[in-house]
Amino acid sequence: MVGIISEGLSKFYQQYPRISIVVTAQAKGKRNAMAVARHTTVSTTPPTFGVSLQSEAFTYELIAESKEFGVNFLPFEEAELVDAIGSSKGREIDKFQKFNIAVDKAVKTAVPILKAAYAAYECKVIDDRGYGSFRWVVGEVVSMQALKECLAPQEILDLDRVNPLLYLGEQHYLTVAKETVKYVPR
Amino acid sequence: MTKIISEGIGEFYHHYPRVACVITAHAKEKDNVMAVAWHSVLSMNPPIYGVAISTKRFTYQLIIDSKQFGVNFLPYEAAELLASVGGSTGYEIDKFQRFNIARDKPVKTTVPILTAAYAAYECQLVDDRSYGDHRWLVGEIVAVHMAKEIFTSEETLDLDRVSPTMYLGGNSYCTAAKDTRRYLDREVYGKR
Repeated sequence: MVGIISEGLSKFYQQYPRISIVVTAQAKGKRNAMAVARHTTVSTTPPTFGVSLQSEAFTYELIAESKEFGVNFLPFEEAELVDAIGSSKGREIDKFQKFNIAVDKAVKTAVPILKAAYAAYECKVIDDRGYGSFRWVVGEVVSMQALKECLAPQEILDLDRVNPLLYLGEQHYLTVAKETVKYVPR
Repeated sequence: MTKIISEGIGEFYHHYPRVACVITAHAKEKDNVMAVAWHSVLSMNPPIYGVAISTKRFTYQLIIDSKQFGVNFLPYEAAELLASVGGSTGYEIDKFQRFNIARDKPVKTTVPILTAAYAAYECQLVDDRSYGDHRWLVGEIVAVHMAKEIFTSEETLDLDRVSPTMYLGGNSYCTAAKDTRRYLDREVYGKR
């Protein structure tokens, strides 16, 4: 690598693109949705999923109150909706009403599940801690929904049927080049 | 649309594709390298990075011994190398030697930095905890290596110059479709 070496801060987009998800929560008669790019599974047994959130986010407040959150995966065709969700504040507006977001019923929790999602997880909080300026919220995945036709054998995404939404940083969205998929056996 | 609902959980690849990175470590004269898809930035100030690793991995032991790890981002053209380092174990072979992996010098730690990487982080371990069958290793990023010419002025990847390796699950790799990139202005979409 012919590289520069920085010890100062950067925007840390080197690790992008990342799947842009919509995290949902509900508490005390209020609900909200936010766009999140920093997330990962942290265990498969039990199935757990972690999301990195700003502590001042309204959604975080609802999660801290209800101890539940939803993880929704929306297709590239919904990039404008995800950006609208990510660019507005739940303290000021009801995003579900404002952006006309259709919701499915959750099975094991009270979190909103987005109808437009090709897959969604319902999570119950098992950890919530601070790393630097952000909260790291980890939930056990207690229920999972997915459009069966979007999954190929082995349960990986069928890219002929769904275009996952990737975020590159600085408001740039894109999807996957399905013609580049290659199987590389270990 | 009918969704299938399950409580029994399989591999759960819905949250893929994810950028496949290479985690490196060095301790007691030994080096190792492994492929990881579960990782994320956790804070910007200070910069903190987390990776999920099974305790069975040789790399995990090296990280625990040295309290350091490297995160390397390789282009799509290196997918075969990622599969090779992901499909072999450092308990049995020296992967650097076996796969002929060239390296650059680290600046703040002793972790191997891959020459083939377009960017890499050097991390000092600050937390190590378990959420189940994997350890969650968290490090403060103490140095960033990046090939400046493949990043835009906004510090995002210039996809005309680099194709990131993304892992789809089930030993399948792909990259991002640069022709589909759209800029969505917050001022427009947040207020529509």
